[in-house]
Amino acid sequence: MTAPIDAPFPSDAWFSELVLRAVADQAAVKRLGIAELRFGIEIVDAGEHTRLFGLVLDGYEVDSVGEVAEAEFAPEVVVSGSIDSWRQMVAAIEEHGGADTAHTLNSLSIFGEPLVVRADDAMGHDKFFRFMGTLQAVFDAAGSPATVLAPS
Amino acid sequence: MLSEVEMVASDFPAKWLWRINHDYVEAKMFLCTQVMDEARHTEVFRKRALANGGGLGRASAVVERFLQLILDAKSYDEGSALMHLLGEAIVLSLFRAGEAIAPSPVEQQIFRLCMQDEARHVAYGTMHLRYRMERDPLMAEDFHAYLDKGEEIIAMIFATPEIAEPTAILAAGGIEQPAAVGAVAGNVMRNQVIGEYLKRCQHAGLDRRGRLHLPDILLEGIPGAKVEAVA
Repeated sequence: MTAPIDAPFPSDAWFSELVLRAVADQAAVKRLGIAELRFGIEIVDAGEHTRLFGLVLDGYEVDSVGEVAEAEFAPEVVVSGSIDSWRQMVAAIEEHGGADTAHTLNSLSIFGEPLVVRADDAMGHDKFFRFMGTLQAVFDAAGSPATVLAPS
Repeated sequence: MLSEVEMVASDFPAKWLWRINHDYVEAKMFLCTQVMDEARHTEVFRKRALANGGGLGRASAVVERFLQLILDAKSYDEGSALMHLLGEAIVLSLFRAGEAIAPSPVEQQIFRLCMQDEARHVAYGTMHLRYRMERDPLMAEDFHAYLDKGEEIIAMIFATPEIAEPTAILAAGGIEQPAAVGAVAGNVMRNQVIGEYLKRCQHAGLDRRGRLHLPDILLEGIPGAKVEAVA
């Protein structure tokens, strides 16, 4: 049964549960192919305070590293947006069981708003597109059935 | 058009594969995967065109000129710069737009997966150019000359109605949007394509800023694209 992730967004617990849901169907993960990416999710609150959460894609593995300092985590690409934008995206995924056309990572960032893609170099920037299928599948897991495993 | 472009994107690496020394086995194997990727793209876009009732369109003269430039390239370096770096960057943007306004989950998945493939090919082209530039910086002028030729045709492609109009409609999110919205959205997309292309060239060690063979009007609002903006 589909149930929203039982943790506040954004939080380490929310991203951990997201990843658990995403990797629950290993066959689906493998169909998307291997990926190599250090991905940053930057969430800007109303006071312009930013929080960065990290995901690491490594082969067929997906790991949430929780809230990170950007310099320490060294993401290859970061997608940044206001907390309202991210919450709208998550709400749409929960409602539809996956992102509808207007709320995919790509559609929300294609014009540089409400989400912005930034990277130190062109290769990092292009990795966002190279692994879009896997990244979207991870976020779509927020609309998938709840896992029975608690985050370790 | 997409089907035709994908056919040539498959033909080009296939044409050069057997001529590349087996010392470069990883590059050859990558090109084999590209041939396969493009074959799947050809199939999916052909089937989509035939299945949606619109049928296959007519080849555009200006697109065919660009494709001919790729196929007739005198060297692999020339063809790769034109196709991987320039042509596929535009296709990547079209796929991004396709994913963003896909009318069905199937089409969304088609564009998303094709986008991944194109981004991989663009990344390969960027790194191929970087590899060549690192080992022989004197080749910079050769690469500039290849891209000069390609950009001249790309400028015409940007102005071709059968490209500009669908791009504006895709970028705006459908034909129900006012034409002005489509024009603005199309310009934003085009600026993005050119800006990202410049960054890839720069990453590869080939600075195209101030050397672009595109009309000034296409370079408005793109940092560093115009001659006077280069320090």
